Amino acid sequence: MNKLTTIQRFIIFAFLVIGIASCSSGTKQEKESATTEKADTQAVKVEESERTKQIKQIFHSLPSPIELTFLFKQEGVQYSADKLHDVGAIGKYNISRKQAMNLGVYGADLSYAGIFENHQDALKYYNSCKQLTEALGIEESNYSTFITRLENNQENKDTILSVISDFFLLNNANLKDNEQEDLATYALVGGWVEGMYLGTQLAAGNGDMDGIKSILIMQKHSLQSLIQLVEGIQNSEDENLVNQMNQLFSLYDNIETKKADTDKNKVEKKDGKLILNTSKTIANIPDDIFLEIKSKIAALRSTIIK
Amino acid sequence: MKKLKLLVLFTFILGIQYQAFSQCRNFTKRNCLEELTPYISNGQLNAATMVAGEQAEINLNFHKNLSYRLIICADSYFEGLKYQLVDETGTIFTEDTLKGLSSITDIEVSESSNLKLLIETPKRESTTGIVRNGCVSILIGFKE
Repeated sequence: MNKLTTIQRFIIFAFLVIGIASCSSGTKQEKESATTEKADTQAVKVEESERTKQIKQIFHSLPSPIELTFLFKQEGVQYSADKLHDVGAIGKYNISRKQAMNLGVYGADLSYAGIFENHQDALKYYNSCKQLTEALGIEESNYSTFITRLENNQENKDTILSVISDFFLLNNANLKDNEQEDLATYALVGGWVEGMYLGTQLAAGNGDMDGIKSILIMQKHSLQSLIQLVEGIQNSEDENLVNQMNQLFSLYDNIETKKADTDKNKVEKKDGKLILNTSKTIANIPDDIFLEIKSKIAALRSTIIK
Repeated sequence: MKKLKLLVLFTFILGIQYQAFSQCRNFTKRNCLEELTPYISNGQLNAATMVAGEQAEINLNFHKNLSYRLIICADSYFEGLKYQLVDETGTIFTEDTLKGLSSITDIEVSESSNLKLLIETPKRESTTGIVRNGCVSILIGFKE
């Protein structure tokens, strides 16, 4: 048998490394086993049997702080500046992990201020975010246009929200482009926790808690995604954070949920949109569990901002 | 010396890999991002390089009272990419194949739901044995 030349060995090695890198980068890959459901509605069922044991890329999508704020606002949550994180605390975030998490926290506060049209607070929180992007080394020339757009469109909520979402998107893209996927994850964690913190804190005392509880139920999947993402980083410093997130997740085990029987498979087209007739999730969150969830979220937030 | 060569090669390959992801995100920014307007982005650029015949999935929260725009964007090499939006019981709400570079679906739900987007890139025969990859990205936007 002929010995491989150095070049041949390098080529083989190169393909191996590319293969390994492909498997570990960007999105987590997991083996999925098939789950074939018995058809009991008029809807077509997904035939997954042929997918058994194939590798799937798993993307993670989380609601942005803007979306969370919209949802909580629809349920009657009001603006309260004293619940937002102190901008003066920014100086204590000296390591990139903390800077990224608190970029998410201040970003959520920016969203709150923007949606409730408190322009002075929005500018204040935008500046805090900008300071952290500088510290993280992801600032670029586009960032200076954001502040101008914010200042020039104080009466235009849609533009303000568009600026904020562009800012989040650019941060996310720049962190990922700089091979800082981990930091992008930390920013997502900070943003989600702060969004949930504000929603649950400010919901207290408001009339219709069913809507608030419905939002909490829907966030179970988001929390699961965040846990997977943080665990994927494999940083020993995250141990406490992951434990707290898992404790929060375990509270969902105490919540009974069931799907209401609705006439499934009705997909209508209206004004170019698909209207999906989805089943209602009926959930019973006892008040004591709600308070525990609220308390765990507050504890998580304390861990992040300390 | 040998170790040094390997180190240089390793760095070079990681560089290529980084370049590929960076290009993927640039592809997304260039070809797909503008189509989110007037919806508000969720602030996340979900883009990854995939190979022919590969599958991907993403969990998505859809809340009633909000409208959503879902964009699937892929390298022209993946024209014909299949996608389905299903619920946790496997009920398919919509399915289609990608025509051109991107597919835009505007969605509203009657009740807040967690749905799953399943994607499968078309299988391609390779005569050279070299597996080509391409960029696939998923963008989500919402509005009141």
